[in-house]
Amino acid sequence: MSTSSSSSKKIVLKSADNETFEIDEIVALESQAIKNMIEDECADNVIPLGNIDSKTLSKIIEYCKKHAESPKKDDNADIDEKAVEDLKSFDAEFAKVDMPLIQDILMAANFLNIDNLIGLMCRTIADRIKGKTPEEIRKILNINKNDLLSPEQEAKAREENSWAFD
Amino acid sequence: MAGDIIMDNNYTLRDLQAIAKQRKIKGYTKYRKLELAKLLGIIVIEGKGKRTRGETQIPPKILPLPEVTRTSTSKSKKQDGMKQTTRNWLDLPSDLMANILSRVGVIEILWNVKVVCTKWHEVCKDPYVWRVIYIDRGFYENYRPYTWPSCLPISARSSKATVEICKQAVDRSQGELVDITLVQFIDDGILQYIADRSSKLRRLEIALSDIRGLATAFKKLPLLEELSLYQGTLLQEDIE
Repeated sequence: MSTSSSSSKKIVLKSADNETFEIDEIVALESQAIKNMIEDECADNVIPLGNIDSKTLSKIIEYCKKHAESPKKDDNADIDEKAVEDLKSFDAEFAKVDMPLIQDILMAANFLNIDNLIGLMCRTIADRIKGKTPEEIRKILNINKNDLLSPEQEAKAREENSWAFD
Repeated sequence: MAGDIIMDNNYTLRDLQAIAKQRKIKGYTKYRKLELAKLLGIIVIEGKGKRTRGETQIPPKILPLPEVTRTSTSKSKKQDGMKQTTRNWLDLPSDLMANILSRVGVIEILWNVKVVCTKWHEVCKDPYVWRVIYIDRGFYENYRPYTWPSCLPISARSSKATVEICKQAVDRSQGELVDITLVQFIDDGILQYIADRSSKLRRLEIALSDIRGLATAFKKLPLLEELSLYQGTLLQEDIE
């Protein structure tokens, strides 16, 4: 459907704080939601994203650009390994941001339906949680004290883990 | 309202894509949700709504349109509402929570994650989180360069504990289990246990284990479409 001729077409995204980003359509197509909008012809020249701020949006565009440039795994079985490695290290670098930004990116990626990015963010969060005690996890996620289990609830939850006490 | 978790018990597009990926369907990302569902033979119910725990049929979610607000943060949302200083992890939609948790590992969920806070405690009970279960008894020993993590009880390494953990995970799925992978552990009862409780199971993978009782288990798994066995031995009479 999308041919090389469409790569010159531009799409403008507008963030919640009214900043506009002009990007190639091919980059925007990384978002399944935007892709559907374009295909259904319900996208105007400017697509307003009222729930994504410019900081988050520029990160997302950075991601989509890189991934749009890279050869797709699905399309071509023998893509060069270097490109794969390159993308991997890009992803690793991309994910090195603080947790609030990770959450914003995740929410936005979910909204825009960018499958790979959702996966990357979820994996990043999971990796930061893995191997941590509940106390450490609370710190990482900045869990409010009011949201903790009562001692009774916690004891009961622990009791369910009888497998650990044999 | 405040304590509500918005749930989508139905398949999301990503669920479908994940399934399609596993089934190695080419170009699955190109399909819309309904097309993909049809292709996979999965029924997706349309509509809008909020799930209350225990209901089986749920709110369908089609692609969000741009004006949709961030889930459950809509109150007092100004145009620049994203500038909130404290983000609440508990506001994440449940499918994202489930996505994260599914990458954390069953033992860690049951031992650590479920006691992190009240919301996660609830989310960990949701069958949604347990539709795909992956349990690898050798995980910590084989795939981590270091020893058993100090945040987990050493006793959880035993086969017996692993079977118990697996049963708990299956219980928590409340019959919604669609995909389970068991690596390096099995006992005669566990397949039966899974089969008795998981009529929706579509994919079963058993690796590095001896397997018995597959034939009887199969009879209870009408939807099973994919079975993978790696480096296991199989009794002759079960291969039919």
